[in-house]
Order: sequence, then C-alpha cells, then structure tokens
Amino acid sequence: MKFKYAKRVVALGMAAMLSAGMLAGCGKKAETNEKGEEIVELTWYQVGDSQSDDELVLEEVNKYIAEEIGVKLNVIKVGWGDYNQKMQVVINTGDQWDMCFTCSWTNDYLQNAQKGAFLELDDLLQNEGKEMYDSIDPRFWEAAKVGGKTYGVPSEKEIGSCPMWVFTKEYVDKYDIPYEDLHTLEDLEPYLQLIKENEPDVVPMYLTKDYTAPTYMDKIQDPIGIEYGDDSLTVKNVFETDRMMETLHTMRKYYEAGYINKDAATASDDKSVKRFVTKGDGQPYAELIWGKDLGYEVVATQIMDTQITNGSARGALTAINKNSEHPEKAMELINLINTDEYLRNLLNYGIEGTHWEKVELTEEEKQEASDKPYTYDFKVKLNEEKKKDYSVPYYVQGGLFNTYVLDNEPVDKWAEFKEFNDASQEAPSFGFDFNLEPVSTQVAGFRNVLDEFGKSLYTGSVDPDEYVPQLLKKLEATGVQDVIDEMQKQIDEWKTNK
Amino acid sequence: MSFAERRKERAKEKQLQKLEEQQCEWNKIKKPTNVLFNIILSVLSLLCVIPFIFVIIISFTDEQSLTMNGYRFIPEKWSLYAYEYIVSAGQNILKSYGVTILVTVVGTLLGLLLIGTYAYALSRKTYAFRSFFTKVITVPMLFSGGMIANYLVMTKVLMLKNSVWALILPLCMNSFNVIVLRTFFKTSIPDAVVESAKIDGASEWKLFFKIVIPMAMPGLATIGLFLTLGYWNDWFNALMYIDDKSWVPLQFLMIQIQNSIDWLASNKSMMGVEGIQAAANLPKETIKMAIVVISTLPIIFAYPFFQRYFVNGLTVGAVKE
Repeated sequence: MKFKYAKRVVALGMAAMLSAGMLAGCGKKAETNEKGEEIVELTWYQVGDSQSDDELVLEEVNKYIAEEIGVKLNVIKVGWGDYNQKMQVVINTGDQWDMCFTCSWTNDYLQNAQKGAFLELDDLLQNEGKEMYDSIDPRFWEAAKVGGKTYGVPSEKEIGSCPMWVFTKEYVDKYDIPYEDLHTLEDLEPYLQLIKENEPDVVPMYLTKDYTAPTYMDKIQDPIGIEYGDDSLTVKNVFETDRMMETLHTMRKYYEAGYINKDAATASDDKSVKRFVTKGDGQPYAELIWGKDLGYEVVATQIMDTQITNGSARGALTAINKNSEHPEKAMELINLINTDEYLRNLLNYGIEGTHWEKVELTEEEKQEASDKPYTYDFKVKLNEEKKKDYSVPYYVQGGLFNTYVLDNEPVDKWAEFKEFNDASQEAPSFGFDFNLEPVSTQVAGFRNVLDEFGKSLYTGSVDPDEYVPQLLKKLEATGVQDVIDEMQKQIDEWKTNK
Repeated sequence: MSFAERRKERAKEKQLQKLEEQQCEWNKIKKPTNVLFNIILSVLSLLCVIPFIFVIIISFTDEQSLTMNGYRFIPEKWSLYAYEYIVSAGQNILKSYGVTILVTVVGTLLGLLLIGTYAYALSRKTYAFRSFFTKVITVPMLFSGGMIANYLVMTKVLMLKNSVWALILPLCMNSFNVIVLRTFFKTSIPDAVVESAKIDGASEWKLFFKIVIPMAMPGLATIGLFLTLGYWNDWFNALMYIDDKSWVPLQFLMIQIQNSIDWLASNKSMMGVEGIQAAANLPKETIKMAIVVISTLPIIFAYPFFQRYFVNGLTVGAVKE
C-alpha cells in the first residue's frame, strides 16, 4: 500500500519534470518597437560553422532591424558538411523556418524550387524588394528563374566559373616565365620541362584527387552537357568529345614524363609539397587568397574565358519558405541587408570597435577609387585578437558589393568583380534547367562509374586509349543514351520556347 | 571473522593455487610457441596503440612545423598551443565537454533503470503480459520509422527540440539491450532465489534492488558499458535536434569540424576561393588532435571501471540443485 503511493508520487514528479521542460518553449509575449510595430521573429538557416561571438553580433543586428523594419532574427548555422542533410530534414518535415541559404552546391536550389519548398518571390521583389532588385545584375535574376519564376534572391558575387593555372611566383621570377601568355594545358609544356630539369625537388604540376582536367563544357548532369560555344545545343557525353580526349592524352603525356606527382589520383592537398603550377577555380584577386593559404606568393592566369552557367550563377541565394508566416517581412529584411551599408558590414565583419576598425583610404587609393563603382570611403582593419570569434562566409548573408574591403585588399576589388562579371560570356546552355525525373535511375548509376575512372583519367594516371572505352562501356550499361536523349528533348523544347 | 577461520581460508587458497599450478603444467605450451604468440600479440597491440600515441604526439606538435614537414613521430618543435587554445579560446569546447559528460552519466543511469526493469519484468515467468511486451520491444528492433518520422515525433509531439532530453531519451531504451539483459536475467537469476526472497517477505522493489541487481552485475555492467559508449560517441541526435549552441556535445563539435573539412576538400572546384577561405577559419590540425585526445581519455577509463563488475559477478553461486 505504502509503495503504491510512493510510486504514484514518483511518476507524477517525473511527468511534471518533463512537461515543465516542454512548456518552457511556448507562450511568448508580443514585443513592439518604438514605432509601435509588432516585432516578428524570423528563423534563418545558414551554412557555415557557428562562431563564438554569433550571439553578440546578432544582438546588435536585432537592435537595428527591430527599429528599422520590426524584425528579430534567429540565425541557425549548420556546418558545411551537414547542411545539405539537415536542410532536407527541416524542409521535408515542414519545420518552422522563414529563410534559408541555397545554391547549386549544397541544399540544391533547383530541386527545392522544383518540388515547391520555396516561395515564389516575383511579386515581393516588385514591392518590398524593389530597391535591391534594381541594384543586382539582371543576369543573376535570370539564373534564379526556375520555370519562369524566381525562388531566391542571389547574392551578388562573381557570376562565372573561372578555372586558372596557379604558379608559384618564386619560380616564375627565377626563370622569367611569361605566365600571362599561358592558357591552355598544352601551353604549359616547355615550362614544365624546364622546371623538371632544373628543380629536382619541385613537382612541376601538382594535382590532387579533386582535380578535373580543363573542361570546355557545361556539364549539366556530369558527364553530360553542352560544349561551350556550341550554339546548336547538341547534348554530348564529355568523354566522347575530341577536346576532352586531346586533354586526357596531354595529361597522360605529362604524367609519363614525370611532370605530375605520381599519387595525384589519391592525394589530398599537402601544403608542404613544393610545386610550380596547380589548377584552381578563381575570381578576381584570387591570388591574394591562395597566397595567404599557401604561405608564399602565387600568380595566376585564366585557362579559358569565363563562362556563365546555371551552376555558376546560382552560387549563393537566399530563399523564403513557402509556408513562412511573414514572407513580406523576410523580403524586407533581405532587401535591407542588400542595400544598407551599416547592417551589411555588421553582419559581415562583426561589431565595429570590437571585431574591426575603420581605416581611412590613402590619397592614392582615393584617387583610384574616385570614378569606380562599389568603392567606399573606408577599409576594414580586422582586430587580430577578436577576428577568430566572428568569421563568416560573406556571400551566405547577402551580396558582396556593398561590403567594405579589407585593408590588405585593393580598394577597387568589387569594381574589378563587376568588370569580371560583365566580361563573362553566357554559356549556350545558360538558363536551361534539366528535369532529371524521367531518367533518375540512369543518372544514379553515373556517380559510381565516374568515381571509378574519373580521377585516374583526369590526372593522367592511366592510359585514356585503354580506359576511356571501358568508361564509355560502363556508362552505356547504366543507360547514358537515355539521359542524352531526354536532355536533348528538353533542351530542344526550351530552345523553341526561348 | 576469527583469526582461526582466516588462517583456514588462507590455507585453502594456497592449496587451490598449488592445484592450479599443477594443472598448468599439463596445459603449458612449448617455450618457442609461447615466444611466438607473445610477439604476435605484442605486434597486434602495438598496432592498436600506435595510432593513438601518434595522435597525442601530433596534438603536441607545433602547427608551423606540421605544415612544413607533415606528420612525424618526433616533431621538429613541440608546442602546447593546441591545449592552450582549448582552455582559453575554446570555451565552446569545454562547455561541450560538460554536456557530453552530463548526458553520458544521466543517460547511462536512466537507461540502466529503464532497460533493467523492463528486462527483469520480461524475464519473470509469473508476469502476465510477458508475451505482449516482448512483442512490443521486438518490433522496433526490426522496423524503424526512419529519420523524418523520428524528427517529427521528437520536435512536434514531444517538443524536445533544443532540449538536453533530445540527447538522452532516444538512446536510453534499446530493444537489443533489453533482450540481451532479459536472457541474462533468465539464465543467471535462478527462480529459487527469487522465491526464497519472497518467502522471506521481500517486496517486488526490494527483491529487484537488493537481490536481483547485485546478482546481475555482470549483465548490467555490459549494458552499462554499451550505453556509456553509445552516449559518449553520439553526435547524430545533436545534428538533428540541437541548434542551440549551449547543448552541443563534444563529439558533434568534432564531427562537424571533420565533416566541414572533408566537404570543403571534396567540393573544391565548386567552392573555388571561398572554400579555401572557409577552410582557413576551421580549427587547425593540432587542435583537432587535441580534441580527440581529451575526448578519448575519459572513455578509456570507463573500461577498467566496468571490468571490475565482470569479474565480481562471476563468483556468485547461490543455489544448489
């Protein structure tokens, strides 16, 4: 009898404990700002690792945006490697969120837009987002369209992908190499030989397993796509193009001549290896970033003209949840971030005075900046002590062109970006979205085949004459022709409707 | 215990030892074989230990000499930087350490209580709903609702998002453990013991806590070890249910760093320069290794702790039949 009573008390106690924990989350009182507007809270999923000063900065941000537009932010950051999976769960379960980061390389923009997870923004962009809409390069908006509707606000940055050869400056200077004239893979040959002969402990061409040989094609569904400059829009398998075969043969020649490190197909980047040239995917002033990463100066030259593809122009977007309760507020916020200098830099670099200081431009720099767009009166000097507590990927939050540049960067960085974007050509396939639904089983088999052959072929580790036919045979078995036919059908339709 | 009794016992022990030695004579292996086996086993254990020693060495290596020379057993320059970083700048790391310890301790105790009581009830032949509850526990062992369903139940029904319970509850009940423990109870707790305790007037609770648990220590210790390891190494629940930084466990912190590094390395061509910038913000190699060291040390000590009970329980012999 006694025990029965005690049991009940314990059970009741436990139940109370659990429910107390649950109730704590509910029941919030509405806040208002000085203008009397009710403050709404927006949840924003971003990719990137969380920082120790996130809360500190967010508090500042919230103070500002609560007064400006009556919004409070709840930012949830998810690590690079986990973001894709996490967002799938969040979106598929109908979880509470308002905005999220999306792009072509994680949390795929196209798929999410096609399945209707994101809100159509076209009306909002003409009202709440008008100012921002007019300021961003129209080609970004064109790329953001899926089936004629816009589902995300692009972050303005470099629009095209730009593969480059990255040379170690030390050897360029020592042997007086005219690196600016070297573009194609074939151009490199005499200099690789030169380095090979004169610098025994330097790898002439250092490649790692993530290397892809220069590809003159928009691989819409790797390995299938449309070649750059092919206005007839013929869908091809990249391994069946003459250009790629030529490249693979050259790679093989270099490999056999000992220009390439022997472990290229399996190596991951080891900075202690001395190298003469390697491949990188760049943007204006990328050599500064590479140089900082490697610890010595590098110079770079473009392999081919920059091409704009759907993938490259969808490098970073912010989407709004289809089921968001406050889509107008979310758009107002995105608009504010992309147009307000104070807010943009606060999000980007942290709090002025804590994480960074304003530095006046020198006379020389002022002169340089005077007639260029996207230049500001200040540069940012990061606080060496505090900068590791708030360091975020800039393009996740908004466009780059209204941020200040760092004190070690050229004052006209963004003007240079703009020029770069203007000079980029649109690939013939730009604007075409492949709906892989009808052939998804065939496509699923590609990955394995490419993983098996891709790395060793690209790095020249195996003979293309022997292995490309094998690769093609395996692709054939997974049904590559169906995919080519389907893509050709869709692209023909797209061409006639354009 | 009187002096005489003690002496008697000691004599008995000695006799036993002698007997054992005698038997050993018979079972002894030849000397060369013995040496060979010893060598093989030493090599195997070295293979297990060396990677960890290597990790410790790397964590004490100077970052600069690591990038210059790569990994080395005897680094050019030693440094305490990684540990200094963890103590000073990495408040998150220490906080996460606390979360992991809390979750492991609370989770193991709660799990043992739930699994133990459930398994004990199933092991008793006199329990009326035995077969029904056995089915209840077997079904989730074979079928699972999947990630989405789990997520919905946890966040929408139980409202456990961002709560420490989201780290504890999903792991504390486990069908497999229940079945293992049920079988253990069935085979190692003779009905006669339970019966005699009942005749002596023990209530069900007293019977469980005072008689069954002490007798079932080896079984409980096994399950306890499973649970401890499960909790200590868990990061998936944190990935799913925890967005609040103050409840992030250590393993999740680590897997996040590792996932980010892997992901950035394999998506280099898509990320371009931005990938390099993002990678530069991640903790350096030595710090990663230091986190591995501090997260592994406590769990190494869990093994000897539980081992005590494995030996203890085996000496029990309560019933003569």
